[in-house]
Amino acid sequence: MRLILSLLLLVQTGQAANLDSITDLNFLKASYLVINSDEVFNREILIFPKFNHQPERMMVHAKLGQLEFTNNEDKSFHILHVDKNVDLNEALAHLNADPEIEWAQPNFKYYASTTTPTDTQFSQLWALNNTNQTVTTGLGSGVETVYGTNNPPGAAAVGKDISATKVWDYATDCSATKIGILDTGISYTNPELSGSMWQDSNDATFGYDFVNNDSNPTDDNGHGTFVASVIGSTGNNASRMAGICWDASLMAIKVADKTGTFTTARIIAGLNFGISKGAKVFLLAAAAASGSVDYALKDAISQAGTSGALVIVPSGNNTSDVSTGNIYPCKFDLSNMLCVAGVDQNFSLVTTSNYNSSIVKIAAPGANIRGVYPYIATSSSIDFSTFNAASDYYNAVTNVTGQWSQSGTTNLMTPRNWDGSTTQYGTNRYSFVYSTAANYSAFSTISASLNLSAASFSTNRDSFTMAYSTDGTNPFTADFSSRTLYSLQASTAAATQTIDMASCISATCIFGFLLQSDNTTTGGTEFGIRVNSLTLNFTTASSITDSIVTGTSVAAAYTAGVAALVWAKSPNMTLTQLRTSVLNGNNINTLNVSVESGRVLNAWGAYTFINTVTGLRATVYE
Amino acid sequence: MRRDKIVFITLFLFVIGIFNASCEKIKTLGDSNLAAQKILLTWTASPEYPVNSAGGGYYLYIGTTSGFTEGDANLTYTLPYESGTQAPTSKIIYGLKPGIYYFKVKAYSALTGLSGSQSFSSLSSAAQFEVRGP
Repeated sequence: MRLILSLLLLVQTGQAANLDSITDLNFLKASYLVINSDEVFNREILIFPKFNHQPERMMVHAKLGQLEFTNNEDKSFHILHVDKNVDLNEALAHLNADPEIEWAQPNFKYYASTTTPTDTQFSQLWALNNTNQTVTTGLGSGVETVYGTNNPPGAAAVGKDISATKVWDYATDCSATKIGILDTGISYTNPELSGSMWQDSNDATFGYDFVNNDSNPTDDNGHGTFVASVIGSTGNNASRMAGICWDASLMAIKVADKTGTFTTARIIAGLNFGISKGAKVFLLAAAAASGSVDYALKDAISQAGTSGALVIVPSGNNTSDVSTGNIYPCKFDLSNMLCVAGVDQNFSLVTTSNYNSSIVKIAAPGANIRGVYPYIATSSSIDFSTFNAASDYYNAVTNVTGQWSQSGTTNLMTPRNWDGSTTQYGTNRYSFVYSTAANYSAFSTISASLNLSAASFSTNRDSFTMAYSTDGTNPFTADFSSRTLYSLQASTAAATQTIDMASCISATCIFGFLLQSDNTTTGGTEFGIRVNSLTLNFTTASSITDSIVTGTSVAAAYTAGVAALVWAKSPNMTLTQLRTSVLNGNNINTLNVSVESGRVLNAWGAYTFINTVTGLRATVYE
Repeated sequence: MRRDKIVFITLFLFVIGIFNASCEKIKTLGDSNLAAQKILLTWTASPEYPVNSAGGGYYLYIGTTSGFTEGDANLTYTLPYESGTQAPTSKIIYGLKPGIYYFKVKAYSALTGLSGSQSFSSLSSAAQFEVRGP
């Protein structure tokens, strides 16, 4: 500690090489007697000789190692490379005992400082700076779903991050690289993102909306804003988040609708738009299992490469091998693509992350990531006891012979006393239950999480339907085909369905369930279904919320950000060189079976990677 | 200095320049009739900013086999970044004895990479050149 304090004093006062201003050389000589060899560069000692000394006189110390003389005025000291068999402390003592030497000290190593931004939620952002922190809910008002594994990861995980604070000493601004965010749009007025948006120099727009075909690509889902914030949330502004890029050029290309659904046509149009506007990195945070190859999309992504653009895609969240699971676009495996898996706070593959040791190229933080969310989220668990026609456990509607019933207030069953194996619902049913009217007009979005037990139906004859009305009436008294939210006509396994209910945003939203059967009994297996629970998830627009997300989209977003950061600093890199640099992450043995490189994204590794020199040519002159 | 003197010196330098340019024609490799005096080695600039900024640059190695390593090199040059937009991407060498030579280049920066040591590129592939006798 004494040594460190001494050194700090010298550095802070700028007196390290100015002998005239140092008054207590004896103190300095003594203080250097205790050293840690790890702090010394190349076992070097700096010798500051007395004024007008003869350099040859120093040769008496050559037995300690190799002497390097310097005589220029700016560097009025000599360097002694101490042999490995000589103790550094002994060498220092020996040199400081020489009356011809004013003072000798180790040639200390210094490291680049690590930049910690002032953003108020920064301590939660483990991906940027892993301190073994616990990612906790309650700090934001958005959707905060915490991934339980490795949270916290343990003390050994400190530093398992993308080394953002290290690279920020050298680069924080990605704005020289235009980044096309192909997603649900971006809430471009959000104070964390407004400063990082690309803006068209011609018409001052922030991108394009290929869902509604207009020039207002604002986000009506939240996903696009979140991934954009991972990349470019304004950093070091004493507010909330920091992206890997403190400043960026984010192009909002809305190709996914409010339910988060992408389409081939919209992605192709979005890629073409981005290319025409100069985007060099695209984040296409989409993945789907498909038995068919989408050749049009494959060609469009490949064409983006022809234009010099890198496209970052997630591996997807199906707990699946990308190859056998046919996960696209990842499986396209194009030379201008990088497919990214997700890891948690201990650099273990996220349990839901897809993987493949040749197609998925790298992993990146993809669990418990906090980012900007444009909505305040609330939810409500529906109490079925308040449903019409269910209060007496029998459907009371005239001419309906339904048998909906409930056990306590926790579920609805069809038929009554449903046990899934013996009691059948019977023929000619038109049995329904429905909620009382509720005012949902203040919400921006509504989605339902409908948890169903295994269903057993007469396929294509009988059905289970969820529908709504907004006029205060029973949803099933008229043709409800245009108001159907969910329909099941076949036996299926137990599952939770996520249902968009945005169409029920009104002052009088009513929703309910219907069991219909025809006049035929087939096979004695018409046992119906049980509705275990129904939770409605609401959002209200807000510019000051954030949320916690787990998924490979986030991992892809970090990768896109690092690519943009490196390319902004080294714009002459070719696409191939950039891709190689980005893949230079932390080598994690356990990931070799999951991603090709076996590596986790690292911004410092990407920034400091140097590609092999090419283009060597010799010209011999006479 | 008088104006006519300046004109004279300028003209003199111009004539010398023409003379030099005419004598310094490029010789294709394998031309055995002329003595090699000067060899210009060039390579494509590394695009990485840390190479082309303070502390960055290139190491140039010359060896006599295509598979030589840094340790086997007969000649090594350090070409640090000094100023401008990029580190030097060429080196002129003189005085090689007749023979077949190879050169390789490695870029470096002042930064410590993920490995914990100074960041280098891999050693490039070899480029061959031949120095003929007189």
